Amino acid sequence: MKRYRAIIIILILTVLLAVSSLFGWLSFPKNIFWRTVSPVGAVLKVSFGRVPKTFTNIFEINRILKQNHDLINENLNLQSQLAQLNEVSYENEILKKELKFSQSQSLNMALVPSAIIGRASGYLKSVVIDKGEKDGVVKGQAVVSEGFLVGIIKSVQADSAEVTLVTDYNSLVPAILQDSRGTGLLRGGLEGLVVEDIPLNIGTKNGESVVTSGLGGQIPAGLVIGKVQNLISKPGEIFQKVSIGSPIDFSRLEVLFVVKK
Amino acid sequence: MIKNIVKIFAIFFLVIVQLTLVPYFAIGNVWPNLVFILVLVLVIFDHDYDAYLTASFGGLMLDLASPMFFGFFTLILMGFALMTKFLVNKFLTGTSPLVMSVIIFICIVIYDSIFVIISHEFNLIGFIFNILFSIAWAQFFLYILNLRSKRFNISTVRLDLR
Repeated sequence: MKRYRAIIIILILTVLLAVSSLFGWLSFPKNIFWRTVSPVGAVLKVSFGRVPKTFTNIFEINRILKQNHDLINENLNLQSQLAQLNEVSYENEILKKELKFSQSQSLNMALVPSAIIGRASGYLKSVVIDKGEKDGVVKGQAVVSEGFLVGIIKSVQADSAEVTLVTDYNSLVPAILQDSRGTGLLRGGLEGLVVEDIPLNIGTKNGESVVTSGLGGQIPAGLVIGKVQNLISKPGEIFQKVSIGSPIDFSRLEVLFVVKK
Repeated sequence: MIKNIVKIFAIFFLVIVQLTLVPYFAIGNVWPNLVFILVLVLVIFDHDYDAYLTASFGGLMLDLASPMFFGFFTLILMGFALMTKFLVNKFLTGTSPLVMSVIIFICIVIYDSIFVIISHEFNLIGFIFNILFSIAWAQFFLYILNLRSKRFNISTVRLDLR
Protein backbone atom coordinates (compact mmCIF):
# COMPACT_ATOMS: atom_id res chain seq x y z
CA MET A 1 0.00 0.00 0.00
CA LYS A 2 2.83 2.36 0.98
CA ARG A 3 4.52 1.62 -2.34
CA TYR A 4 1.48 2.80 -4.26
CA ARG A 5 1.13 6.02 -2.23
CA ALA A 6 2.10 8.29 -5.16
CA ILE A 7 -0.45 6.63 -7.44
CA ILE A 8 -3.21 6.91 -4.83
CA ILE A 9 -2.41 10.64 -4.39
CA ILE A 10 -2.62 11.16 -8.18
CA LEU A 11 -5.93 9.28 -8.37
CA ILE A 12 -7.37 11.33 -5.48
CA LEU A 13 -6.21 14.48 -7.32
CA THR A 14 -7.93 13.24 -10.48
CA VAL A 15 -11.19 12.65 -8.58
CA LEU A 16 -10.96 16.14 -7.03
CA LEU A 17 -10.35 17.71 -10.43
CA ALA A 18 -13.21 15.67 -11.93
CA VAL A 19 -15.53 16.98 -9.21
CA SER A 20 -14.26 20.55 -9.73
CA SER A 21 -14.88 20.19 -13.48
CA LEU A 22 -18.59 19.73 -12.67
CA PHE A 23 -18.55 23.25 -11.20
CA GLY A 24 -16.50 24.67 -14.09
CA TRP A 25 -13.37 25.23 -11.98
CA LEU A 26 -11.00 23.50 -14.38
CA SER A 27 -10.07 26.63 -16.29
CA PHE A 28 -7.15 27.51 -13.98
CA PRO A 29 -5.36 24.09 -13.96
CA LYS A 30 -5.94 23.74 -17.73
CA ASN A 31 -4.45 27.19 -18.29
CA ILE A 32 -1.36 26.33 -16.20
CA PHE A 33 -1.02 23.04 -18.07
CA TRP A 34 -1.10 24.64 -21.52
CA ARG A 35 1.23 27.46 -20.43
CA THR A 36 3.74 24.79 -19.42
CA VAL A 37 3.21 22.61 -22.47
CA SER A 38 3.12 25.22 -25.24
CA PRO A 39 6.78 26.44 -25.08
CA VAL A 40 8.16 22.88 -25.00
CA GLY A 41 5.71 21.90 -27.71
CA ALA A 42 6.82 24.83 -29.86
CA VAL A 43 10.47 23.76 -29.56
CA LEU A 44 9.59 20.15 -30.46
CA LYS A 45 7.44 21.35 -33.35
CA VAL A 46 10.24 23.51 -34.77
CA SER A 47 12.82 20.73 -34.29
CA PHE A 48 10.90 17.71 -35.56
CA GLY A 49 7.60 18.99 -36.97
CA ARG A 50 8.99 19.47 -40.47
CA VAL A 51 10.15 15.88 -40.84
CA PRO A 52 6.75 14.34 -41.69
CA LYS A 53 5.90 17.33 -43.90
CA THR A 54 9.04 16.78 -46.00
CA PHE A 55 8.17 13.10 -46.53
CA THR A 56 4.54 13.90 -47.29
CA ASN A 57 5.56 16.54 -49.83
CA ILE A 58 7.79 14.07 -51.70
CA PHE A 59 4.99 11.52 -51.95
CA GLU A 60 2.39 14.09 -52.87
CA ILE A 61 4.28 16.00 -55.55
CA ASN A 62 1.92 14.89 -58.33
CA ARG A 63 -1.12 15.87 -56.33
CA ILE A 64 0.47 19.22 -55.45
CA LEU A 65 1.23 19.95 -59.13
CA LYS A 66 -2.37 19.18 -60.10
CA GLN A 67 -3.65 21.19 -57.16
CA ASN A 68 -1.42 24.09 -58.19
CA HIS A 69 -2.82 23.99 -61.71
CA ASP A 70 -6.39 23.90 -60.38
CA LEU A 71 -5.67 26.73 -57.96
CA ILE A 72 -4.30 28.93 -60.75
CA ASN A 73 -7.51 28.37 -62.71
CA GLU A 74 -9.63 28.97 -59.66
CA ASN A 75 -7.62 32.10 -58.86
CA LEU A 76 -8.33 33.53 -62.32
CA ASN A 77 -12.03 32.77 -61.87
CA LEU A 78 -12.04 34.32 -58.43
CA GLN A 79 -10.28 37.43 -59.68
CA SER A 80 -12.99 37.99 -62.25
CA GLN A 81 -15.65 37.30 -59.63
CA LEU A 82 -13.91 39.70 -57.23
CA ALA A 83 -14.02 42.45 -59.82
CA GLN A 84 -17.74 41.85 -60.21
CA LEU A 85 -18.25 41.74 -56.44
CA ASN A 86 -16.35 45.01 -55.98
CA GLU A 87 -18.74 46.57 -58.41
CA VAL A 88 -21.72 45.08 -56.56
CA SER A 89 -20.29 46.17 -53.21
CA TYR A 90 -19.84 49.73 -54.49
CA GLU A 91 -23.39 49.72 -55.76
CA ASN A 92 -24.56 48.27 -52.42
CA GLU A 93 -22.79 51.00 -50.43
CA ILE A 94 -24.46 53.68 -52.52
CA LEU A 95 -27.86 52.04 -52.01
CA LYS A 96 -27.25 51.76 -48.25
CA LYS A 97 -26.37 55.41 -48.03
CA GLU A 98 -29.50 56.20 -49.95
CA LEU A 99 -31.56 54.14 -47.51
CA LYS A 100 -29.51 55.35 -44.49
CA PHE A 101 -28.61 51.81 -43.47
CA SER A 102 -25.77 51.14 -41.09
CA GLN A 103 -22.89 49.01 -42.21
CA SER A 104 -23.60 45.32 -42.26
CA GLN A 105 -22.59 43.23 -39.23
CA SER A 106 -20.07 41.26 -41.22
CA LEU A 107 -17.96 44.36 -41.72
CA ASN A 108 -17.63 44.77 -37.96
CA MET A 109 -15.90 41.43 -37.52
CA ALA A 110 -12.43 41.29 -36.03
CA LEU A 111 -10.08 38.35 -36.43
CA VAL A 112 -7.74 37.07 -33.74
CA PRO A 113 -4.88 35.04 -35.27
CA SER A 114 -3.95 31.99 -33.24
CA ALA A 115 -1.71 28.93 -33.48
CA ILE A 116 -2.66 25.38 -32.61
CA ILE A 117 -0.72 24.25 -29.55
CA GLY A 118 -2.20 20.80 -28.99
CA ARG A 119 -4.61 18.07 -30.02
CA ALA A 120 -5.93 15.48 -27.58
CA SER A 121 -6.70 12.70 -30.06
CA GLY A 122 -7.28 12.17 -33.75
CA TYR A 123 -10.74 10.83 -33.02
CA LEU A 124 -11.82 13.75 -30.87
CA LYS A 125 -12.11 16.59 -33.38
CA SER A 126 -10.79 19.23 -31.06
CA VAL A 127 -7.70 21.45 -30.96
CA VAL A 128 -6.25 23.85 -28.42
CA ILE A 129 -5.21 27.34 -29.58
CA ASP A 130 -2.83 29.81 -27.94
CA LYS A 131 -5.36 32.63 -27.51
CA GLY A 132 -7.75 32.91 -24.60
CA GLU A 133 -9.74 35.30 -22.43
CA LYS A 134 -6.89 37.82 -22.39
CA ASP A 135 -7.23 38.22 -26.16
CA GLY A 136 -10.99 38.63 -26.03
CA VAL A 137 -11.85 35.07 -27.03
CA VAL A 138 -15.20 33.93 -25.64
CA LYS A 139 -17.12 30.66 -25.72
CA GLY A 140 -19.16 30.08 -28.86
CA GLN A 141 -17.10 32.24 -31.23
CA ALA A 142 -16.44 30.98 -34.74
CA VAL A 143 -12.96 29.89 -35.83
CA VAL A 144 -11.94 30.14 -39.48
CA SER A 145 -9.03 29.02 -41.60
CA GLU A 146 -8.37 30.30 -45.12
CA GLY A 147 -11.74 32.04 -44.91
CA PHE A 148 -13.70 28.85 -44.19
CA LEU A 149 -15.43 27.99 -40.92
CA VAL A 150 -13.48 25.22 -39.19
CA GLY A 151 -14.75 25.21 -35.61
CA ILE A 152 -16.38 26.80 -32.61
CA ILE A 153 -14.77 27.83 -29.32
CA LYS A 154 -15.85 25.23 -26.76
CA SER A 155 -14.14 26.50 -23.61
CA VAL A 156 -11.82 29.36 -22.80
CA GLN A 157 -8.93 29.67 -20.36
CA ALA A 158 -6.86 32.79 -19.68
CA ASP A 159 -4.20 32.05 -22.33
CA SER A 160 -5.69 29.23 -24.35
CA ALA A 161 -8.98 27.98 -25.73
CA GLU A 162 -10.44 24.68 -26.85
CA VAL A 163 -11.92 24.56 -30.35
CA THR A 164 -14.42 21.90 -31.40
CA LEU A 165 -13.98 21.37 -35.13
CA VAL A 166 -17.05 21.33 -37.35
CA THR A 167 -16.10 17.76 -38.33
CA ASP A 168 -16.92 16.64 -34.77
CA TYR A 169 -20.17 14.70 -34.41
CA ASN A 170 -21.22 16.86 -31.46
CA SER A 171 -20.66 20.15 -33.28
CA LEU A 172 -23.90 21.81 -34.43
CA VAL A 173 -23.79 25.04 -36.42
CA PRO A 174 -26.85 26.75 -37.95
CA ALA A 175 -26.19 26.97 -41.69
CA ILE A 176 -27.93 28.20 -44.81
CA LEU A 177 -27.64 27.05 -48.42
CA GLN A 178 -26.84 30.23 -50.31
CA ASP A 179 -28.80 29.71 -53.53
CA SER A 180 -31.80 27.66 -52.45
CA ARG A 181 -32.01 29.55 -49.09
CA GLY A 182 -32.62 26.31 -47.20
CA THR A 183 -31.67 26.43 -43.53
CA GLY A 184 -30.30 23.48 -41.58
CA LEU A 185 -27.77 22.34 -39.04
CA LEU A 186 -24.17 21.57 -39.93
CA ARG A 187 -22.79 18.46 -38.25
CA GLY A 188 -19.68 16.27 -38.57
CA GLY A 189 -19.31 12.56 -37.96
CA LEU A 190 -19.15 9.31 -39.85
CA GLU A 191 -20.72 10.72 -43.04
CA GLY A 192 -18.33 13.68 -43.14
CA LEU A 193 -19.71 17.22 -43.07
CA VAL A 194 -23.48 17.25 -43.52
CA VAL A 195 -26.24 19.81 -43.29
CA GLU A 196 -29.35 18.18 -41.88
CA ASP A 197 -32.88 19.29 -41.01
CA ILE A 198 -33.38 21.10 -44.33
CA PRO A 199 -37.14 21.45 -45.03
CA LEU A 200 -38.49 19.20 -47.78
CA ASN A 201 -39.82 22.08 -49.85
CA ILE A 202 -36.29 23.36 -50.51
CA GLY A 203 -34.74 22.33 -53.81
CA THR A 204 -31.06 21.92 -53.01
CA LYS A 205 -28.46 22.24 -55.76
CA ASN A 206 -25.13 20.46 -55.98
CA GLY A 207 -22.27 22.94 -55.88
CA GLU A 208 -24.11 25.73 -54.12
CA SER A 209 -22.26 27.42 -51.27
CA VAL A 210 -23.12 26.81 -47.65
CA VAL A 211 -22.65 29.64 -45.15
CA THR A 212 -23.42 30.23 -41.50
CA SER A 213 -26.91 31.57 -40.92
CA GLY A 214 -25.93 33.67 -37.90
CA LEU A 215 -28.87 32.40 -35.87
CA GLY A 216 -28.08 32.54 -32.16
CA GLY A 217 -24.73 32.49 -30.43
CA GLN A 218 -21.58 34.31 -31.39
CA ILE A 219 -21.28 33.07 -34.96
CA PRO A 220 -21.74 35.83 -37.53
CA ALA A 221 -23.80 35.22 -40.62
CA GLY A 222 -22.15 34.62 -43.97
CA LEU A 223 -19.04 32.64 -42.99
CA VAL A 224 -18.33 30.19 -45.78
CA ILE A 225 -18.41 26.51 -44.79
CA GLY A 226 -18.12 24.71 -48.12
CA LYS A 227 -20.19 23.54 -51.06
CA VAL A 228 -23.06 21.08 -51.36
CA GLN A 229 -21.82 17.79 -52.80
CA ASN A 230 -24.97 15.72 -52.96
CA LEU A 231 -28.28 14.90 -51.36
CA ILE A 232 -27.86 11.99 -48.97
CA SER A 233 -31.27 11.80 -47.30
CA LYS A 234 -33.51 8.87 -48.20
CA PRO A 235 -37.03 9.12 -49.63
CA GLY A 236 -39.58 9.15 -46.83
CA GLU A 237 -37.46 11.17 -44.40
CA ILE A 238 -39.15 14.26 -43.02
CA PHE A 239 -36.09 16.47 -43.58
CA GLN A 240 -33.41 16.63 -46.26
CA LYS A 241 -29.74 16.02 -45.60
CA VAL A 242 -26.88 17.09 -47.88
CA SER A 243 -23.17 16.30 -47.70
CA ILE A 244 -20.80 19.26 -47.74
CA GLY A 245 -17.32 19.44 -49.23
CA SER A 246 -14.82 21.77 -47.61
CA PRO A 247 -11.48 22.61 -49.24
CA ILE A 248 -9.88 22.65 -45.78
CA ASP A 249 -7.73 19.69 -44.75
CA PHE A 250 -8.77 19.43 -41.11
CA SER A 251 -5.83 17.19 -40.24
CA ARG A 252 -3.30 19.82 -41.31
CA LEU A 253 -4.65 22.94 -39.64
CA GLU A 254 -1.93 25.21 -38.28
CA VAL A 255 -3.02 28.84 -38.01
CA LEU A 256 -6.60 29.67 -37.15
CA PHE A 257 -8.51 32.94 -36.82
CA VAL A 258 -11.08 33.49 -34.10
CA VAL A 259 -13.92 35.65 -35.39
CA LYS A 260 -15.04 38.30 -32.92
CA LYS A 261 -18.55 39.40 -33.80
CA MET B 1 11.18 9.77 -3.97
CA ILE B 2 13.72 11.13 -6.48
CA LYS B 3 13.05 8.13 -8.71
CA ASN B 4 9.33 8.94 -8.65
CA ILE B 5 9.95 12.57 -9.56
CA VAL B 6 12.20 11.54 -12.46
CA LYS B 7 9.53 9.10 -13.66
CA ILE B 8 6.81 11.75 -13.40
CA PHE B 9 8.92 14.18 -15.44
CA ALA B 10 9.53 11.47 -18.05
CA ILE B 11 5.77 10.78 -18.28
CA PHE B 12 5.06 14.51 -18.51
CA PHE B 13 7.56 14.81 -21.38
CA LEU B 14 5.91 11.86 -23.13
CA VAL B 15 2.50 13.56 -22.76
CA ILE B 16 3.92 16.77 -24.29
CA VAL B 17 5.30 14.77 -27.23
CA GLN B 18 1.94 13.02 -27.54
CA LEU B 19 -0.01 16.28 -27.62
CA THR B 20 2.27 18.47 -29.72
CA LEU B 21 4.47 16.32 -31.96
CA VAL B 22 2.73 12.98 -32.62
CA PRO B 23 -0.25 14.64 -34.42
CA TYR B 24 2.17 15.67 -37.21
CA PHE B 25 2.81 11.99 -37.93
CA ALA B 26 -0.91 11.21 -38.29
CA ILE B 27 -2.11 8.95 -41.08
CA GLY B 28 -5.80 9.08 -41.91
CA ASN B 29 -6.17 11.67 -39.15
CA VAL B 30 -5.39 9.05 -36.51
CA TRP B 31 -2.26 8.77 -34.43
CA PRO B 32 -1.15 6.34 -31.72
CA ASN B 33 -1.41 7.13 -28.02
CA LEU B 34 2.13 6.64 -26.74
CA VAL B 35 1.09 6.85 -23.10
CA PHE B 36 -1.41 4.04 -23.63
CA ILE B 37 1.16 1.87 -25.42
CA LEU B 38 3.76 2.47 -22.71
CA VAL B 39 1.23 1.46 -20.04
CA LEU B 40 0.51 -1.80 -21.88
CA VAL B 41 4.21 -2.59 -22.40
CA LEU B 42 5.00 -1.90 -18.74
CA VAL B 43 2.14 -4.13 -17.58
CA ILE B 44 3.20 -6.94 -19.90
CA PHE B 45 6.80 -6.49 -18.79
CA ASP B 46 5.74 -6.89 -15.13
CA HIS B 47 6.61 -3.31 -14.15
CA ASP B 48 3.28 -2.92 -12.36
CA TYR B 49 4.11 0.14 -10.31
CA ASP B 50 5.50 2.06 -13.30
CA ALA B 51 2.50 1.02 -15.40
CA TYR B 52 -0.03 2.29 -12.85
CA LEU B 53 2.00 5.47 -12.29
CA THR B 54 2.05 6.11 -16.06
CA ALA B 55 -1.66 5.31 -16.35
CA SER B 56 -2.67 7.59 -13.48
CA PHE B 57 -0.35 10.55 -14.09
CA GLY B 58 -0.41 10.25 -17.91
CA GLY B 59 -4.19 9.94 -17.77
CA LEU B 60 -4.45 13.01 -15.55
CA MET B 61 -2.32 15.06 -17.97
CA LEU B 62 -4.25 13.82 -21.02
CA ASP B 63 -7.49 14.68 -19.23
CA LEU B 64 -6.28 18.24 -18.77
CA ALA B 65 -5.82 18.44 -22.54
CA SER B 66 -8.93 16.54 -23.52
CA PRO B 67 -12.35 17.86 -24.52
CA MET B 68 -13.95 14.78 -22.93
CA PHE B 69 -15.26 14.71 -19.36
CA PHE B 70 -12.46 14.92 -16.81
CA GLY B 71 -11.18 11.50 -15.75
CA PHE B 72 -11.95 9.80 -19.08
CA PHE B 73 -8.33 9.07 -20.02
CA THR B 74 -7.37 8.13 -16.45
CA LEU B 75 -10.27 5.66 -16.37
CA ILE B 76 -9.38 4.21 -19.77
CA LEU B 77 -5.66 3.87 -19.02
CA MET B 78 -6.14 2.45 -15.52
CA GLY B 79 -8.87 0.15 -16.79
CA PHE B 80 -6.69 -1.22 -19.58
CA ALA B 81 -3.70 -1.55 -17.22
CA LEU B 82 -5.73 -3.59 -14.73
CA MET B 83 -7.46 -5.64 -17.43
CA THR B 84 -4.19 -6.46 -19.20
CA LYS B 85 -2.54 -7.33 -15.88
CA PHE B 86 -5.41 -9.70 -15.07
CA LEU B 87 -5.23 -11.37 -18.49
CA VAL B 88 -1.45 -11.69 -18.44
CA ASN B 89 -1.51 -13.16 -14.93
CA LYS B 90 -4.28 -15.55 -15.85
CA PHE B 91 -2.96 -16.85 -19.14
CA LEU B 92 0.77 -16.08 -19.37
CA THR B 93 3.73 -16.24 -17.04
CA GLY B 94 5.95 -14.25 -19.36
CA THR B 95 5.86 -12.83 -22.83
CA SER B 96 7.78 -12.47 -26.06
CA PRO B 97 7.71 -9.65 -28.62
CA LEU B 98 5.21 -11.69 -30.68
CA VAL B 99 2.82 -12.36 -27.80
CA MET B 100 3.18 -8.75 -26.73
CA SER B 101 2.26 -7.62 -30.25
CA VAL B 102 -0.88 -9.77 -30.14
CA ILE B 103 -1.90 -8.33 -26.76
CA ILE B 104 -1.15 -4.77 -27.96
CA PHE B 105 -3.14 -5.49 -31.14
CA ILE B 106 -6.21 -6.60 -29.17
CA CYS B 107 -5.96 -3.66 -26.74
CA ILE B 108 -5.51 -1.10 -29.55
CA VAL B 109 -8.52 -2.50 -31.42
CA ILE B 110 -10.66 -2.19 -28.27
CA TYR B 111 -9.22 1.27 -27.45
CA ASP B 112 -9.81 2.57 -31.00
CA SER B 113 -13.29 1.06 -31.06
CA ILE B 114 -14.17 3.06 -27.94
CA PHE B 115 -13.10 6.24 -29.73
CA VAL B 116 -14.93 5.27 -32.93
CA ILE B 117 -18.13 4.89 -30.88
CA ILE B 118 -17.56 8.21 -29.09
CA SER B 119 -16.57 10.21 -32.18
CA HIS B 120 -18.94 8.52 -34.68
CA GLU B 121 -16.02 8.43 -37.11
CA PHE B 122 -14.18 5.53 -38.69
CA ASN B 123 -11.21 5.67 -41.01
CA LEU B 124 -10.01 2.20 -42.04
CA ILE B 125 -6.57 3.35 -43.25
CA GLY B 126 -6.02 5.37 -40.08
CA PHE B 127 -7.25 2.43 -37.99
CA ILE B 128 -4.83 -0.04 -39.62
CA PHE B 129 -1.85 2.33 -39.53
CA ASN B 130 -2.60 3.19 -35.92
CA ILE B 131 -2.40 -0.51 -35.00
CA LEU B 132 0.84 -0.99 -36.97
CA PHE B 133 2.44 2.15 -35.51
CA SER B 134 1.32 1.19 -32.02
CA ILE B 135 2.93 -2.23 -32.35
CA ALA B 136 6.12 -0.59 -33.69
CA TRP B 137 6.17 1.83 -30.74
CA ALA B 138 5.55 -1.07 -28.37
CA GLN B 139 8.60 -2.86 -29.81
CA PHE B 140 10.62 0.31 -29.32
CA PHE B 141 9.53 0.62 -25.67
CA LEU B 142 10.25 -3.10 -25.21
CA TYR B 143 13.73 -2.62 -26.63
CA ILE B 144 14.40 0.26 -24.21
CA LEU B 145 13.08 -1.80 -21.28
CA ASN B 146 15.23 -4.75 -22.36
CA LEU B 147 18.32 -2.55 -22.39
CA ARG B 148 17.43 -1.31 -18.92
CA SER B 149 16.84 -4.85 -17.68
CA LYS B 150 20.27 -5.94 -18.87
CA ARG B 151 21.93 -2.95 -17.26
CA PHE B 152 20.29 -3.65 -13.91
CA ASN B 153 20.59 -7.42 -14.30
CA ILE B 154 16.85 -8.09 -14.08
CA SER B 155 15.91 -11.57 -15.21
CA THR B 156 14.47 -11.62 -18.72
CA VAL B 157 10.90 -12.65 -19.42
CA ARG B 158 10.02 -15.67 -21.48
CA LEU B 159 7.03 -17.06 -23.32
CA ASP B 160 5.19 -19.69 -21.31
CA LEU B 161 1.58 -20.26 -22.29
CA ARG B 162 -0.33 -22.11 -19.61
